[in-house]
Amino acid sequence: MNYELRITNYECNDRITNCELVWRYLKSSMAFIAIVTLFIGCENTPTEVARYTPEPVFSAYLYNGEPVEAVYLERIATFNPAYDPQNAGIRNASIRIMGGGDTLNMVEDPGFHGRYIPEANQFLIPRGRVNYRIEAMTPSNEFLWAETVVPDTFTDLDVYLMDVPGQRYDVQDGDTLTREDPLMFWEWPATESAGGYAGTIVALTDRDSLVPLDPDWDAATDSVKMEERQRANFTVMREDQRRISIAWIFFQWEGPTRIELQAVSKSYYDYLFSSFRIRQGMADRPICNIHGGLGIFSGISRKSINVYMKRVE
Amino acid sequence: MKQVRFIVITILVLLSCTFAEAAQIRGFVIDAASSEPLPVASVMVEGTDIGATTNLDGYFVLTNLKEGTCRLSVTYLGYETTTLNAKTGGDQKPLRVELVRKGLILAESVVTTKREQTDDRRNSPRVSTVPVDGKLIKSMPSLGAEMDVMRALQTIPGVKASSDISSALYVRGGSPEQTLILMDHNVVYNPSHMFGIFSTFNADAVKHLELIKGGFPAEYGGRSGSVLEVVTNEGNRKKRQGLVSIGVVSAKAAYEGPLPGGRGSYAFSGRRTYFDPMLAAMRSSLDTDLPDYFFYDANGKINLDISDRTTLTVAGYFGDDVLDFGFGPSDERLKFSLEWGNKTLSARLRHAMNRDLYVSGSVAISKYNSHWRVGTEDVLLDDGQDEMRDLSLKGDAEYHGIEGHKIKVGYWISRYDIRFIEGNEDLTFVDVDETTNNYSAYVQDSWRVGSFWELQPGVRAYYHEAGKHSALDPRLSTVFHYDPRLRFKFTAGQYTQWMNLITFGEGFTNFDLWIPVDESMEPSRADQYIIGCEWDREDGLELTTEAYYTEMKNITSFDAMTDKSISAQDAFVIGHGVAYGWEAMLMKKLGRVTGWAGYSLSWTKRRFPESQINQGEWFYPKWDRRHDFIAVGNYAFNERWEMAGSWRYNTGQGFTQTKGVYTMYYAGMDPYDFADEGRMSLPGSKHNYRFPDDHRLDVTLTYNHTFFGHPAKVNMSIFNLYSRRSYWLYSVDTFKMETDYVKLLPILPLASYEVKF
Repeated sequence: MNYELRITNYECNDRITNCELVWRYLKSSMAFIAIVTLFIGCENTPTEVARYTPEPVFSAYLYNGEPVEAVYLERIATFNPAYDPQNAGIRNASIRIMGGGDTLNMVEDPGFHGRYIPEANQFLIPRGRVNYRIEAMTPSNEFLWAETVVPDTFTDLDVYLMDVPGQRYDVQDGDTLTREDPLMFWEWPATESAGGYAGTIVALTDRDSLVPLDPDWDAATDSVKMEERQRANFTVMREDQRRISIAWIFFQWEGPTRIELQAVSKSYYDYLFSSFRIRQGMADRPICNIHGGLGIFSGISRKSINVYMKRVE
Repeated sequence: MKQVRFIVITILVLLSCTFAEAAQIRGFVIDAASSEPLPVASVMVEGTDIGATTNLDGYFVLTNLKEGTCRLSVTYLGYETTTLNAKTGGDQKPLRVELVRKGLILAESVVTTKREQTDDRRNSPRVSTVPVDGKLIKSMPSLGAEMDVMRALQTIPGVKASSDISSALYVRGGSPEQTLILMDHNVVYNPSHMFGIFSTFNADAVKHLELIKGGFPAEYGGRSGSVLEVVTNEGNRKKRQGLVSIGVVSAKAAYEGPLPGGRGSYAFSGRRTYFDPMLAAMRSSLDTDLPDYFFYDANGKINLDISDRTTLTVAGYFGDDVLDFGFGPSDERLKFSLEWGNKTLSARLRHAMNRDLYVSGSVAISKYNSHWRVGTEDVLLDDGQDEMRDLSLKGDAEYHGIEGHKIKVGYWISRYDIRFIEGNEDLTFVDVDETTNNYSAYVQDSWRVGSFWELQPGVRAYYHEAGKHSALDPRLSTVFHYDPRLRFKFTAGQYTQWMNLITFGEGFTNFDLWIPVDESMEPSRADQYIIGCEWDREDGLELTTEAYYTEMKNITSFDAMTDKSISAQDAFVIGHGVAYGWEAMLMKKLGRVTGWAGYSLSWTKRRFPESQINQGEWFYPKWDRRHDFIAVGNYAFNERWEMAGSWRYNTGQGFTQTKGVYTMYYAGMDPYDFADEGRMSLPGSKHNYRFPDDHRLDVTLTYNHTFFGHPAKVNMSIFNLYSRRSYWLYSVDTFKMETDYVKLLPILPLASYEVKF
C-alpha cells in the first residue's frame, strides 16, 4: 500500500495559515472555556449543618431480673456555645414499655430533664427471652419506638488470675488485687439470645477522690486533671467469644472497682461498635434500632463482682 | 453481545490487512555516555511521516520502507538530535543509535529546532500518557529535599494528592488501588514509606516513568483506572560511577558500571533515613514519648547480554519501615511495634528474534507484608500479620511483519497468596488464607491507516480461578492527525480489576490488605471514554487537552462495620461511582525556561447503596477536587546555577462537619464515669463541607560544582515558601463544644548534598 502523504505535501504557507487559524480559534475559545469552567465548576455553599433539624435520641436498657429504673430522651444539640444534657432533654413526652403482658408508663424525673422514671407504684421486671417494645410520643408529635429481646442470665462468670506457668487463682467478690498480680481472665458460657458481650470495669470511688494506681504518680507533686478522671472502661466482644484477658492498664484507680460482664442484644452490640467506629472517623452514623430517631433500646443480662484495687508504691 | 460484535469486527479488519515484504529498520536507541536504552525516543525517517517510538527497552522498528538507504532522525527530550543513514531490507542486525545528552547552555540554542525534535509522542496513539524522564524528577522541588517520584507525578493535571504529606496517587477520580504500579514490569503493591509520606521509589534509581492516566491499552491489565510504569536505571555500560547524597531526611548511595567483558551492566542504589538517632536524642533530652522510626530501601539491576539480540535482566527491590512506640506508665507501658515493606524480584529475558519479532518473558515475585503488635509486657492485645505474595509469569511479543501494523500479544499468569491473621492470646479476630490464580491474555494492534489515522484496537481476556470469573475487556484508541501539529484523540475501553484494597489512613499506608476477588463478589469494572487533542508549536510549546468520563461498577470500600472475615464479601461493601472532568496542560519543552502549567476541572462521586457509608447515598470522596491548577518551572541561569519552582492551587478537600452532640448512655455505666461525660458527636453526611482552597509555592535552587574533581551539587529547597498551611483534619471537642482544624506544614527550608564519583 502506498500512502499519499498529505502532511508532507503541505505547502508551507498553508501550514502556517492552518496553525494561525487554530491559534485564533483557541484564543477565542479560551475565554469561553474559562466562563463555562467558572459556571459549572462553582458550587453552592453547603448548608446541611445550618439547616439541620435536630433529631430525638432515645436510650433505654432493660436488665434481666432488675426493675426498670430510667430511660433517657433528648434532642441532638447543635453547635451552641455550651451543651447541657439537661437542656437537651425532651420534656413532657409520654413513654411506655410493653412486653410479656406487662405495661410500664414512664414520667419525667423532675430533677433531670429528659430522664424518665416509672410512674408511681408501677414497676416492670424484664425476663429473659421475652420481646419488649418501647414507645414515646414527644410534645411535637414525634413518635419513636423500638423492640428488643432480653438475653438469658449467665449461668456462670469465672474471673481468675493466671501466672506464666499456668497456675490459676480464682477471684471472688471482695478480693483485693494489685497491678502486680498475674494476668486477669474472664470466662463465661454461652447465653441465649445474646448478640454480643460487653465487659465493663468501673471505679466506684467518687470522681473527686480518685488516686491513680500508676506507681510513678506522686500525691505530693502530681495532680489529676478533671478531664483525665475516667472511671469506666469497656470492651465489646463478638457473640462467639467466651474468654478474654484483661490487661491491668484497664484498672486505673485505687479503691473498689466493679467488674461486669453483659450479654447484650445484637442491636446494642451494633450501636456500640458503630459508635466506636464514629470515634475512629470510620463511620458516619450510629446503627440505631429506634424508629423515628436515634439511640438504642436493648435488653441486657449481666453478672458482676466487686474487687478492691490496691496501689503498690 | 456488544463485546462479541466488537471482537468480530476487529478480527475482520485485521484479516483484511495486506501482508507485504516491505523493508524495515530496527534497533535500539541508547545513551551515548552510559549505553543505557532510552524509552519513548522518537525515530523518524526524514522527508516522510514514517516514524516509530522506542518501547521501554529502547527498541524500535520502522516498517513500510523502500529498499535501499534512508536517513533517520532520532530525538529524545534533553538529548542532541542525531541523524544517520541506515540500510533497509534484509535481516540486518539491530541498529544501536547513540544520543548525547545536552549541556545546560545548549538547551537555549535549540529553540528554533524543527517540529520533530519537540514531539516524542506523535507516533504513538496513546491517549492520556505522560512520559517523565527520571532526571526531571530530580530537578523538581521536593518535600524534605527528598526527591520523590510520586510527588513529582502529583504535579500532572488529573493526578491529585490527598494532602501535602501524601505520596499516594489519585488519578482522574480513581482511588490509589485502581492504579497499576509496575517497577521493571513487576507489580508493586505498597509504593510508600512513612505512612505514605514518601514513595518507595528512590529517585536516584529511576530512569524513566510513564503515567497512563486512563484508557490504557490491552497490554496492561488487572486494574481499572490507570497505569504507572517505573523503569529503573540499567547501569552505565561504559564506565563505573557512583553517587553519594546526604539530605535532611536520608542518606543515599548508588553505584553502577559495566559487567566484565562488556557483557552488560549493573546498577545498585540504596537509602536509609536517619530519623531514629534524631528521635532518640529528642526522647532523652525532652523526656517524652516519641516513636522510634526509620525506613530503608535498595534497588538492584543486572543486565546480561547473552547475544547482540538477547538480554537477561534481573531486577530486585526491597525496603522496610520499622516503627516502635510506647506510652503509658512504666509498669503497664503499652507498646506498639510495626514493620512493613515490599520485596520484588524479577528475571526478564528480551530477544529481538528476527526482523519482525521482538519477544520478552519474565518471571517475577512481588511481596508486601506488615506485622504489628500491641500490648504490655504481660498481655498481647493485638497481633496482626498481613502478607501478600504475587508470583507472576509474563510473556509479550511484538510483531512488525504486517505492513502498517504493530501487533502485540501476551499473557500474564499471577498466583496470589494472601495471608492475614489478627488476634490476641484469646481469640483470632481474622484468619484469611487465600490462594488463587489469575490468567489473562491480550492482543492489540497499532495500526497506521493512511496519513491521518492511527488505530489501536485491542482486547484482554481474563479467567480468575476463585469464583471461576471470566471477563473480556475490549479497548480502542484512535488518533487523527489533522495536520503535523494538531492531533485529535479518542479512547474507549473496559477495564477489570481483580484485587481490592483495605487500607486505613491516606492512600497507601502501613496496613494495606489486598484481597482478591472470590466466589462471593464480582470484580470491579470501569468503562472509560476519553477525547482530547494535542497541539504543538515550533517554539517548543505544546498544548494538550482532554475530557474524560469513567463509570465504575462493583467498586469496593472497606466495611467498617464488619467484625468477621470468612470471604472477601465480609471485608467490603460494594458500590459504584462516576468520574468526569476536563484537563489542559501547556508544556514548554525547550529553552532556558522549561516547565508546564496545567488545569483540571473534575468531579468524582461514589455510592455504596447497601452500606452505612453515607447511609447508602452518593458522596464526593476525599480526593474530589473541583479545580486544580499547577505551574512547574525550571530555569538554568548558567552551567552552575539552576532554579525550579512549583505553585499549586486547588479546591479544598472535603470533610465531614458535625451536626451536633448528644449523650451516649452506656448500659451499666453512668455518662459521668467517662472523661468526656459520654458525649458523642453526630457526623453530617459524608464530606458535606470543604476546607478553604489550598495554594502553595515550593522552590529549589541547585548549585552544580566539583568536589575534589568529582561532580557535586548542593540542593537548597524551600517547601511552602509563603507558609500557607493547608487544612488537613477537622476535629470536634464534644466536651468544650469546640471545633478545630489541623493544618499541615509551614515553611520548611531544607538542603541536601550530592557527589558523583
